[in-house]
Amino acid sequence: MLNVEHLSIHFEERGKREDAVKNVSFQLADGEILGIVGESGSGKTMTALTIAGLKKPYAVIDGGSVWLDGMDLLKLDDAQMRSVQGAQIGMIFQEPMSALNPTMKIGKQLEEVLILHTKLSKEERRNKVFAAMEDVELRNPGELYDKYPHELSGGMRQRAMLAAAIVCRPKLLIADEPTTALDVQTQDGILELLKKLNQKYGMSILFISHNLRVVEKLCGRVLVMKSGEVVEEGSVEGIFGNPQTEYTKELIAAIPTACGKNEGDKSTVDEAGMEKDMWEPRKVLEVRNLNAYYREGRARRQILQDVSFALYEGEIVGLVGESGSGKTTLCKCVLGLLKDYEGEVIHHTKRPQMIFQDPYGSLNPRKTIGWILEEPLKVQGGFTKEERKRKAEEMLERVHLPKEFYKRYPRELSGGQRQRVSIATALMTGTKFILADEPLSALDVTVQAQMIALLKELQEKEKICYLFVSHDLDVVHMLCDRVLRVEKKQVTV
Amino acid sequence: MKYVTKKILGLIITLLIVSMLTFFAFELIPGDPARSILGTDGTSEQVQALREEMGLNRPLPQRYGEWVLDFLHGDMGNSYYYQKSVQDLIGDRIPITVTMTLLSFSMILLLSVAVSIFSVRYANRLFDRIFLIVDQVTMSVPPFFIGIIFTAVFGLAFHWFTPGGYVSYEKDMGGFIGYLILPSLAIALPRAAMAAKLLRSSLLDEMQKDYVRTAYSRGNGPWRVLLRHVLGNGILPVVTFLGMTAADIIANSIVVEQVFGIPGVGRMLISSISKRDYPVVEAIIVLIAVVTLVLNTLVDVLYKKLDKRIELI
Repeated sequence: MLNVEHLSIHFEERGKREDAVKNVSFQLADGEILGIVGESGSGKTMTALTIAGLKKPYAVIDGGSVWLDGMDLLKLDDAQMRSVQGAQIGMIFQEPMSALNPTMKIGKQLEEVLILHTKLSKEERRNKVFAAMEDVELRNPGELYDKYPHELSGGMRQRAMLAAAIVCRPKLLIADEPTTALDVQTQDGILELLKKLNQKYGMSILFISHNLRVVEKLCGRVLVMKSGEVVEEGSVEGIFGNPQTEYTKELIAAIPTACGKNEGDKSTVDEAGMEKDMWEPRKVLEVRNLNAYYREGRARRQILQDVSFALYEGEIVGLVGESGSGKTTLCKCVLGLLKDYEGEVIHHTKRPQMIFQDPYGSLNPRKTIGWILEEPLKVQGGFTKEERKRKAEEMLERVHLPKEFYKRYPRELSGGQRQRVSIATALMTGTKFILADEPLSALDVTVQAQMIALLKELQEKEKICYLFVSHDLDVVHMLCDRVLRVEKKQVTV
Repeated sequence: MKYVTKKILGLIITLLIVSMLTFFAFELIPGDPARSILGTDGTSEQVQALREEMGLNRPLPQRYGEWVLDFLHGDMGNSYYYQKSVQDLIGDRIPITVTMTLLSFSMILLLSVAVSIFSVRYANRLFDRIFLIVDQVTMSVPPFFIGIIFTAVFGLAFHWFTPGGYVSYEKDMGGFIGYLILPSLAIALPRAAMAAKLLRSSLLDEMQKDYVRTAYSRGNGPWRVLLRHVLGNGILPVVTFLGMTAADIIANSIVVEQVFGIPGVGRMLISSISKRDYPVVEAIIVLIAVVTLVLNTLVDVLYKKLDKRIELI
C-alpha cells in the first residue's frame, strides 16, 4: 500500500549541505505495523515527515518516490497533498501537549479534520467525533468535547490526538515517537490502543521510535536506520533474536532491561557489599515525618504525608511515581526550595547539587565550560586562578571529557557531553549527594548507556549518592539500588 | 465571574485615588482662583468675599467629599471663566472625543492584525521586507505630524476634506464620522505600527510550535492555519499592549484635535489650563482616567477570555 522507493533528502541551510536520508526504500502492506528505529539524526523522523508532506522547506528531496495506493505523493501539488493529509494519512506526534492547539477546544480540533475533508452536516460531524473518541477509549465524550488540552492528562491528550488522526479513517497512521513523553503505564495503554485500531480498521501504522522495547511490543516488522540509511530490516523476531549488524546489536544491548543478565550480577555484588559491611555507611540525607503542602490560590493542598527515609553514601536511589504524585515537591523540600513543610530534612554532607533533564538549558550559553566548572570554586573562595584551572581540568577527566573542552562553549557540545559537564559542575562543589531529575530522558539510547556507566563509576569510585528521579522504570531498575515510590501522598521503599 | 467583580472594584478604587490626587494637586498649585477671576483690579476685600462665596475657605477634605458626591450626581461644578456649569461646557464635546478614541482603537486593531498576517504569510518575501521598513518609519512619526501631513496632502492638495471644516454630529452624522477618520488614523498609525511589529514576531514564534505542524498534518492550508490556529494564540501578548495604548490614544487626541480644529475635550482642556479654569481641568482629567481605566479593564477581561489556560477566578 505504501511504497517508498530510493528516497534521498538533504538539508540545506546557509549554504551548508547535509545528507539526511540516503536512498531509503521500504514497503508497508495493508494492515501492517512497521517500526522504524534509530537514534536521533538517523533520518527516521525526516522520512516520516516527508511521507506526510510536512517536511520543512530547508529539507530538499534529491530523488525517489513515495507511492500511496498508486499515487506518487512527492509529485502532488500543495492542494492535492492537503486532500491526502488528514483524510488518507493521519499523524500523531511525540509531545501531545504542544501538538494540540492550546486555545482550541478538543472537540473543535477533532471536528476540524471532518470540516476539511467531508461535507457532513454539523450533527453528523458531532456524532463522528464522539465515535472517534470512543474508539480511543476516552470516556465522557460529551464532556471532553468542550475541554481545552491543558485540562486533560498526558495520556488523554495523546488519545485525543489519536482520535483526530483517525476520525477520517485514514489508511495510514504515522506515529512519531507517540509514547516517548508518557510514563510507562500510559505508554502501554497507547500501544494496546494502536494495536486495537490496527485490527479493527485494518489501518496500517508506521511507528517511529528510539525505544526498542516499545517497538518490540507493537510492530511486526522493523527497519533499523542509522545516519540516513537503512542498515537492517526484518521481522521483530529476526531483528531482536538474531541481529545481523553491529549497530543493531549495540542498540539492543543498550535497552535497559529489568531482568537482564546485568541485573543478576549487580544484585549479587550488592548483597555481598551489604553483608561485608566493612564500613558503616554514612547517611547523607535524612527525612523525618515530612508533610509538604502546596498553595493553589487560597487552598493549601497536602502533597506529602508523613514521609520518612534516609539516603546513604554511595547508593543510587530511584524516585518514581506518576506525574503529579509529588516527586518534584519532595525534591524541592530536599533542596530547600519549598519552605511550606513540617518535619525534618537533615543534610549530613554539603548541600545537594542538582542535574536536570535538559543539559543545554541549564548551562549558561555565554560562558565557557571552564568558567562554568570554576564557578562553584569562586563562590567558595580560597583558590588561586591556577588551582581552579587545574581542578576544572581534573574534573573534566573524571567525567571522561578531553581537557580541551575547558575553552569550549556549551553549544559546541553534544547532549551527552553537556550532561557530563552538568555532573562535573555538581561535583565541583565537593558534594557527595546529587539529585538527578530525569537526567537521561533527553538522550539517545546509546548515549544513555554511556551515562549510566559514568554514574555507576562515580558511585563506586567516589561514593557519590544519587537520588534519581525518573519515570522510565527500566532505567531505574537497571541503575538503582533501592527505589522510592511516591503514591497517594506516601513514599514506599 | 468573580474575576470581573474584582476588576471593577479595583477600577473604582483607582478612580478614587486619581480624583483625590487631581483635586489636591490643584490645591497645591500657586495662584488663587478668586484672584484670577477678579484680575489685578480686585481689592483684597473683594477677593476674600469671593473666596467665601465660592466656598474656598472651607476645610479641604470637606470640599473634596462634596466635589466627588456632586460629580457622581452629574454636577461637575462651575467654570470659573465661562460662568457656566462644567457639564454644560464639556457635555457635547465628550461624544466627539470618545468617537475618535474608539475609531482609533478599532483602526489599530484592524490594521495591525491585517498587515501582520500578510507579513507572516509571506515572511521574508518582498511584502514582508517592505512592510518592515514602512512599519519602522510609521512607528517613529508622532501623530500630530501625521495629522499635518494629512491636512496638507488630503486637505490642501486633493481637497478630500476641508481643513477646519468640522461637521457637528448633531447636524450630519455621516459627515461627522467622515471628518474624524483622518484624525483617528493619524493617532492610530504609529501605535498600529508598533502593534503590527509585536504581532508579527509573536505570530512567527507561534508558527514554530508543534501544534502548527499538527494542523498541517490534518490538511489545513496555510491561510487556515494562520487564521484558525496561530492568530488566536499569537494575539495574546499583543492584547496587553493594546490595553496600554488606550491612554496613549487619548493623550494624542488632545494634540490632534488642535491640528484638525475639532472642538473635542482635548481643545477644551488646553484652553482651560491656560485660563486656570480648574473645575473644567479637574473634570476632564477624571473623565480621561475613567475612559482609560474602563478600556484597560475591558482588555484585561478580554485577555482572560481569549487565553483559555487562565481560569476566570
